[in-house]
Amino acid sequence: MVEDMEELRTPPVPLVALVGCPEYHGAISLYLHREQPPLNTLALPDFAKLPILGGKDKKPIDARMPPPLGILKHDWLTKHRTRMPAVLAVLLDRDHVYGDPTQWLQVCTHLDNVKLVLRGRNVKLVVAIVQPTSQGEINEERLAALRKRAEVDAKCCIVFITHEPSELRRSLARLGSIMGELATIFYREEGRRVKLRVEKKSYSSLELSVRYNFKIAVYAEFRRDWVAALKFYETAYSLLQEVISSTSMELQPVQRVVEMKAVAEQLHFKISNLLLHGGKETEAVRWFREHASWYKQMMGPFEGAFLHWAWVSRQFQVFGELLQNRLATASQTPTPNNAMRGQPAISERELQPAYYHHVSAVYMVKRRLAFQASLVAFETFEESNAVDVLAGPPEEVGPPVYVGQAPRLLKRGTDNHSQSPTETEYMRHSILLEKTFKHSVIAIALFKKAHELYQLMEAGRTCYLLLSDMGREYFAAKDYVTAMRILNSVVGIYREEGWVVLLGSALTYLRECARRLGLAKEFAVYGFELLALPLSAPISHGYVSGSEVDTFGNLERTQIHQELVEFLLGARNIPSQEGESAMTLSSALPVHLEIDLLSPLRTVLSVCVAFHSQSVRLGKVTRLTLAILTNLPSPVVFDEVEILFNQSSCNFSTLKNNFVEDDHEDLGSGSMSSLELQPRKWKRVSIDVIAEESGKLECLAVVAHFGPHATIRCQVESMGSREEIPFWKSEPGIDASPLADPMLASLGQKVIQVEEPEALVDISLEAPSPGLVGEAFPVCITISSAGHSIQAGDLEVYFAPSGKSEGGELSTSPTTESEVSPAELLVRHSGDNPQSKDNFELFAGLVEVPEISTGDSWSTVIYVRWLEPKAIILMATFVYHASEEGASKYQYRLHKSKEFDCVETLAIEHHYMPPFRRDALLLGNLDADTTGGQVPAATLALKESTILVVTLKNKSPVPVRLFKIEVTEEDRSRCVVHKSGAVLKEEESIEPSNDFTEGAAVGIVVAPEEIFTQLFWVYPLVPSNSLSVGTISVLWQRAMSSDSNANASEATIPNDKKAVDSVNNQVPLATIMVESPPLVITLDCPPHAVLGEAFTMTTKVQNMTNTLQEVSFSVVDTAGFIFSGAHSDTVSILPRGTHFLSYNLVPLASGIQQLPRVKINSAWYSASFQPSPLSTQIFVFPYPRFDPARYSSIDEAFGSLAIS
Amino acid sequence: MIVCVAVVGHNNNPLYLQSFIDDDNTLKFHYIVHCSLDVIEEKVSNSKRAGVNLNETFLGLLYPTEDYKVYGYMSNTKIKFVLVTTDQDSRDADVRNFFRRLHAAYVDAASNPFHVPGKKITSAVFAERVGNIVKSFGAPAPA
Repeated sequence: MVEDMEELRTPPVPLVALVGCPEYHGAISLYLHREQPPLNTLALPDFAKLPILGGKDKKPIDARMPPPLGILKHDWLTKHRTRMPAVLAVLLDRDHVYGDPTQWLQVCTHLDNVKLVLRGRNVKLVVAIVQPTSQGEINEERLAALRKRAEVDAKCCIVFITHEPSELRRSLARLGSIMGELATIFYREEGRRVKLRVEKKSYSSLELSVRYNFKIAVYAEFRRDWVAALKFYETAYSLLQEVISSTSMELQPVQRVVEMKAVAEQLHFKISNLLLHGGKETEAVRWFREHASWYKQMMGPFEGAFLHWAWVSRQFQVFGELLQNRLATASQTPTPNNAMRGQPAISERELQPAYYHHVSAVYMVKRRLAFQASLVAFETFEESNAVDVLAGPPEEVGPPVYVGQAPRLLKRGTDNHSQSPTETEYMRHSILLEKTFKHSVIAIALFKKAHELYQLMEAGRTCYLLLSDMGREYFAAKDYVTAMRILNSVVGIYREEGWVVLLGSALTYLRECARRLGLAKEFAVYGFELLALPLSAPISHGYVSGSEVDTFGNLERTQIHQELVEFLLGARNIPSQEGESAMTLSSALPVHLEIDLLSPLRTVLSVCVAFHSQSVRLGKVTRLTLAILTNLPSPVVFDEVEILFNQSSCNFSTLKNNFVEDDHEDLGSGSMSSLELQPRKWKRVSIDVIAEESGKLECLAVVAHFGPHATIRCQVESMGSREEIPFWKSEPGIDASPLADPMLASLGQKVIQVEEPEALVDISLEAPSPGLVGEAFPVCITISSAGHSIQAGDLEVYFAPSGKSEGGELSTSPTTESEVSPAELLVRHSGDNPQSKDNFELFAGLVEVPEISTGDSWSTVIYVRWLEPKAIILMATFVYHASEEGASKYQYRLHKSKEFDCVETLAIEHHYMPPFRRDALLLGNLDADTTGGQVPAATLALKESTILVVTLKNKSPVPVRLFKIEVTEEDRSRCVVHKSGAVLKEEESIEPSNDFTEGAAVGIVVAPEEIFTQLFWVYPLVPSNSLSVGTISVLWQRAMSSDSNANASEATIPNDKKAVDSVNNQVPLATIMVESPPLVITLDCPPHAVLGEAFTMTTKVQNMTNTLQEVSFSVVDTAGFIFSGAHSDTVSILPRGTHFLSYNLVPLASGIQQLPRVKINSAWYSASFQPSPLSTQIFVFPYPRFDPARYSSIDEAFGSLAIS
Repeated sequence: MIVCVAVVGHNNNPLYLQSFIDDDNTLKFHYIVHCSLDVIEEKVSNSKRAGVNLNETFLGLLYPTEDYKVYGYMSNTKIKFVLVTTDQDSRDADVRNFFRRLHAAYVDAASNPFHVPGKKITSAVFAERVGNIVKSFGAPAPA
């Protein structure tokens, strides 16, 4: 059949024959084949071979003839393609034609023979006279005789010149064109002849109509008239349908049905081919659809069903291939053409070859099933020694006469009827032939092909369908390993998209595969998943592959469940593949299933857990509640349940421990080792856990045991973060919360923090009021036992900058602050190093704490030295082992922190002042306002004493004891500084360090906010623009008055001088300008006056320069005095000279009185000077009771005045 | 004759699938409907590419199987409705009308406060209504 198809696949090519002059046949054949349209050549080397062209004698058509035995002659098309030429070309040698009479006679005999062979047939004749040389004459008379003899007209009698290539080409062209023309005429005439027969209706059988229409179509094809060919093929096709409709297919013998369909196939093949070549894809598809649906019902007798499905499958396969070839060559893909009204629409899928391959594969499967059924019946009724006569030796079995018929048994007789095999023989032959056919292999190949094509179309789901079908076919072919592999690749998409029924079907097959392969674990996995599917209705196994696997309803579910459970318990063997031992669980073949959070088996068993608290102390009991759910259809009982933790000491097993809580009351406390789960109902149990290690305690998994050899290990998840199972989300689920307690259900975690046991120890960090910058600030750390006696421990102390800055504002740039540590931790030197400048060393961070028995305490002092006024948090961590029984194995840890504030202690300021009533004209200050009498710090007079005033203000809230204030000169040769005043004179001689040893409280206590002032004399020796005077250093200490003992914090520190060390603050003095003054003015006047008693006031003007200075002065009168002397004048003062302006004054009023002010003006420097009013005041005592001479100091005088 | 009606959710999960022939083999309809999703996707992406019929919910004939024709319809919320019929040529108007009524029935079922969106439709009322729509398929639309 297939080779017939090959013959039909290509359009027929006209056939011509050559006879005579065989040396030119090759060239002519080649030329004719290349001709457009091509001509096939049948070359006969000599005239003796002519009879093979001969056909049979044609009998006239008679209406009384019985219907023919078949529809299409089997070899008719072959005959016309290979043996029946349309044109015969007789090649005659020129010498023979024009030669002597003997040769002429020979030629005539040949021509007669040719005419004899062609008699009664319409084959055209061409005579070619071959002329190998240019010489020789042409005998016109002989030529005419030749034409007459051959009965051809002049056109068909040509001269074939061969001696010259160009002439040869011309001759070939001439021959080709005449032969092509004649061939067309021949086929047209043949077609017309048959058509006439059809039109005359000179016969009665429809079969002949089919045959004749087929012939007309083939002749049309020969002359490349595709439209006509298509028309007549279509007519033949519809006539054949009439033939089939006239009889009932079911009642026809199988052979007849097969023949009809074979003819239909052939006709349809030609139609499809022509339509597709004509670019009418949609038309072809429409034709095919009609064809397939019409003939699909024509199954014929039951025993031949497999032949029918084979035929249908082939229709789809062949059409798919035709379409694929067409699409491969077509320039553009066809689009569904819906424009034709009244015709059913063509969908895009129908234009895809993949569709046809798929359907073909499906029918291939049907063919296998039908054949399996037929085979059973055949083997039941078949006698054992029957011989398949059709498979006999070739000489006994001949090819069929008609298309689609069985081979003939040549020994049976001479006519067709007796030679055809009986129905039984035919069926036996077909079944035996079919037995060798590899249905599954072919079907899988077709599925694969369709799969590839669909993959190109990105039709994913269709690909999965094809894979499912393929898997089933592998299953049918007993290739279980491949079937499992393929089906396993399919289940993912069905799970993901929630197609329960489809997944169930695949799982049924997978489980069956696992069973037959003896894979216990897979068998259990597939079985469990299948059972746990949310199936609402029973599903059937598969629509393609038939009944290899049982349907799957509720009853089956229960059975499968029971079988699986018994198998896992070891109580049942599962029959495996034929011939192999049954599958049994043993210690050598255990089954351990693993269910993680993404496993599809989560529907089988899912566990979520919740600890009742978020944290627990080491060694204390905490409660864990588990909620277990199964979707298995029947209740399931586990022999043993283990709960695993990351701390293996916490692991729980129902064999060893009991649940402390169970939501089913009917369970007695005795038989708790097994656990029963009801389908789709949360099982809630609780256990008590004691953590043995601090840190994290996590519940990891629940292991359920079935019998001794099967376990299911299921990962647990937190109740609070429970996620829905990623599969079957669209199925109606269980709405119940896993726990009744909504709090625990929404927040419960599978992890609990195990904290260290409570430390029965107190740590206190004690210190006095705020720390002062620079001092070693003592912090007393006391560890007191409050229940534990401490065996050994380590105390770690460290600090961190506080989040608050000094002012209480949140620091804005913590990163920069953290770079420089604001403080350091210190400890006091051990006593053997008194020579050290500092009594402290940096603290290492860790202190070992000795044993402390219950009720005792231990303390140590850590010093903090601040570098800047910033608050810090001091932290102390104490780690210890208790010596109590039972508690010793734990390490206890206690942490304490406290914030300490820090403030700046002293604000040190300084400024320069000129001596009292002695002013120097400093040119640098000319612009400045000097009326205040205060010399700016910047400029000092050379070799004149200037007063340096140092002011200290206590900014801290605690009193401070000052030990020493001194100025260290930078360079004694440039500037000399010495201390003035009597106040600090006595303490100057006492070293502060000596103070401490004596334990006497010396120095001056400066209360908070109090200001302390110290004066120095500064005597610059060299003029300078920038002179460094020196450094002020202040030695001070926190004042430890006995009054402040009321402060609780200080009570803990021994009131010892050693506890607090003095601090040396150093402030550099600002650099000064030194210049030599040209004039120095000094006011000389008694310290006080007595009413009515005259005294002298002298203003001394010193010229410090080497030039003459002109100075003018004037005196401002005051009411308190009358005086004598020049009111105003101008004087010249000699170089280095001094001018005295003396006035005698008599006070007129008592009390503070303003002296007359002398205003001095230097003409050279154009600078004027007037002393400040403050410096020119004098106290006038009332007369006579006061005798200033009796008193040694002015204070004494004032004192006596007050008493009096 | 309509042999199967299916409603498929926007995650391509089946929400409702009912066959209307007395054949225990409903599995093939599951396969047919599942594969039809491929064609729906093709059609939707093609029409998007072509930029036409963006608001057209009716997708027309999806594909034929050997025995059936499969029609599709997709709502704006990406709910797909699939119809499997044995009729070799149904009138487009009939199929459109069918889908419109099915869509309305689905909307009513989805509006049920007890229906959880995305879950299977288990409502008996919906099933009954679909049965009625199937029965009246092809008959002239009620006035």
